[in-house]
Amino acid sequence: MNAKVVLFGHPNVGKSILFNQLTGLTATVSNYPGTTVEVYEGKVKVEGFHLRILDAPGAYSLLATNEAEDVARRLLFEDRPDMIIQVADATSLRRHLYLTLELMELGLPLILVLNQVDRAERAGIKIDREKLEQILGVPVVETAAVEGRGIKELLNAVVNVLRSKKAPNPPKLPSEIRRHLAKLEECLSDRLPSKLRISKRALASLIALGDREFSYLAENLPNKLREHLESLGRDLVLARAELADTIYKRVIVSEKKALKPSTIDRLLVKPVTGLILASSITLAIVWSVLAIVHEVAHKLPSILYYGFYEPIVREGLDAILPDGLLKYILIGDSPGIYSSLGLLTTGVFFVFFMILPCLFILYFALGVLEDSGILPRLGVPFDAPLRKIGACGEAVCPIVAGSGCSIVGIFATRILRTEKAKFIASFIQWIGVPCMAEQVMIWLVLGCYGSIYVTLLYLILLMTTIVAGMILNALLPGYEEPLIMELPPWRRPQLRNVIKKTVVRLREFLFKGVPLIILGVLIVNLLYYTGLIGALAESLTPILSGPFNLPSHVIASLVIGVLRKDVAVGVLMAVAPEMTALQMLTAVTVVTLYFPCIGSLVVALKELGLKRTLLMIAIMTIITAATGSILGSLSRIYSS
Amino acid sequence: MPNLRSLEIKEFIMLPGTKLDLKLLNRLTSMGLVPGRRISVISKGKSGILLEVDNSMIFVSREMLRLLFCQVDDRER
Repeated sequence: MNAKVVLFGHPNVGKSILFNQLTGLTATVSNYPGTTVEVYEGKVKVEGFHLRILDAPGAYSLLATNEAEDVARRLLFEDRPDMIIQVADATSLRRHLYLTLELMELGLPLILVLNQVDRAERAGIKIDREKLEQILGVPVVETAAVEGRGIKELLNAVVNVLRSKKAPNPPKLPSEIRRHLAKLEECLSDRLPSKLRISKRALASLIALGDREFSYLAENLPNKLREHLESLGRDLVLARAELADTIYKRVIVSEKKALKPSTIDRLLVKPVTGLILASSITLAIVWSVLAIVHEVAHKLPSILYYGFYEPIVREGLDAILPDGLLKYILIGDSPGIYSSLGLLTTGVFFVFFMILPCLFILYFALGVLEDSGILPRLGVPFDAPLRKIGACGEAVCPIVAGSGCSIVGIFATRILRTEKAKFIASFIQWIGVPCMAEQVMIWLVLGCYGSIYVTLLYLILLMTTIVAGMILNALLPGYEEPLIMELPPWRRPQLRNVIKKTVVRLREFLFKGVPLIILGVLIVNLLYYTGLIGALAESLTPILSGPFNLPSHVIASLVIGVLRKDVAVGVLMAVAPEMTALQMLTAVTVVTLYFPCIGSLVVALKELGLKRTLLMIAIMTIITAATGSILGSLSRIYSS
Repeated sequence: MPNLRSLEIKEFIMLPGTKLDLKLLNRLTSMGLVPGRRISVISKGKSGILLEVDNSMIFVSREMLRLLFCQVDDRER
């Protein structure tokens, strides 16, 4: 028998770890509120039931405040599951009971999981599980997902609930509220949306709370009822909170303080120390990752690629294949990474000898940062400066993820609450945050001229981001609600989880990024083979050699940059002998700013829509023209 | 508009009552920030305050605090 089960709960309660324990599949595990924006699915077979388990994004309430929470509730509303497993943190039960009361109204079988009982026990917190079960009328299971404790008991409970198909009764709210909700239910009886599969009671509650999605249903209500909706909603919220508090007081056996705020937590809210601390942490992380990546990117190719791979492949194919198009496509006509442009030489080098080792290091570091709780904390001190350019503290997570790959970063903007914040956070990633693979190439190409030029590039990107962000913030309509954010507890990252997460992200890159890299190398290869690169260069020469003061061969980079920015910067190496340091700085700046890579462009179209994506491209073109012209003029002055 | 300096924050805060915007009220309450409940302040700074809510840490920016208290102030005026 097939059954669909949704794991639901607040962010940072260990849902994803529990999901991994239940299904044995890989899922990203995160400390940042709402990171599990994508819905992970796993399967498990238990006592004749084929369970399809869905890991919903973290949500505090059924009244969604961002897209991630909206995705979570859609899993319950539109894709009716056979049961819900609410995962709650045993150390802070009272906060979770509010959501429990909401879920109890849905009319779906429910299990409440008290996760992290290990932490609760260590802190001396004890909950009367049986009493809680009795009061709620919902099975309650204790787990410590990190240790794999309670998983068997949970699966047994799932089977029992699926067999009984029993949904809990709605919570016992004050009679006055129940009476008003019942009236509301009556009025809704003939207007239920066909695709919606929740109880009338839950729908009535959402309408009373002013849920935007169902506001059209409120419009047709009798005037008297409609006028009292807001006060009903207000009473409902407070009654739920009071009931949650009452239940909590009845089931808590021993209540102790489990929270130990660190000095870092205390300092984060101080504007100067917080910002210095967060900036130092960010810089230390980025520079150490880059330093390791730089070493790896330098040493791996020289040892493996030049020493073993290239000679074997080149000699082998030289012996097998006659000169012609196929051989040209596969290995080019000359050795060397940037002059060969063959799929098996340049293509393989970029993917396996350079980008993958770099991304492995970055994603591993990112996993450690997320699981330890550092990453979400950066949002606190960065909130005020980011607001000046139209974003907010919560945008730190997508922006840092975007420093790995903007495809991942733009997807992560879903956790932001407004379209304006999403737009600006995506825009920052396009112009101000080169992806890690591109940063490695920047260090390799521009670093040859001295680290001062790399520093200059970062300063230029920072300046353009600040100026463009401030202008956009002033021009774009919309209001970003002030920040209120839960900070996850400090945790020692688990190697298993970090590796799992790294593997999932690398797999995503292999499937989405690698085909684009190979395609990019192939296109440039064919442009050279057919001689089209010359014609393209000629048509754009007036701009390149005019205001930008660049050699016309830079066009190859601009063409490939549409597909992959890192490869585009790497290809600049082929024209390096023709350029001065300032010209190379201009070229790298132009390649970084002029257009997004095709992967992030597709994601932006999906996430932001055509109009906003075109607006971003238009702004990028203006910024590129202005910055390129200024740098071009400077390079002309200093070369003469 | 209340002066921010008048919002002197001590060792605990008590969020204003029922006159908040309904969605904001639901958001705060679902996170454990229930109006009228005494909430401990872990740390305070110009950018905001760090609160302890049922063994969890919640950061509330200064702007959010101002919004909470302004709404009450405006409605009660």
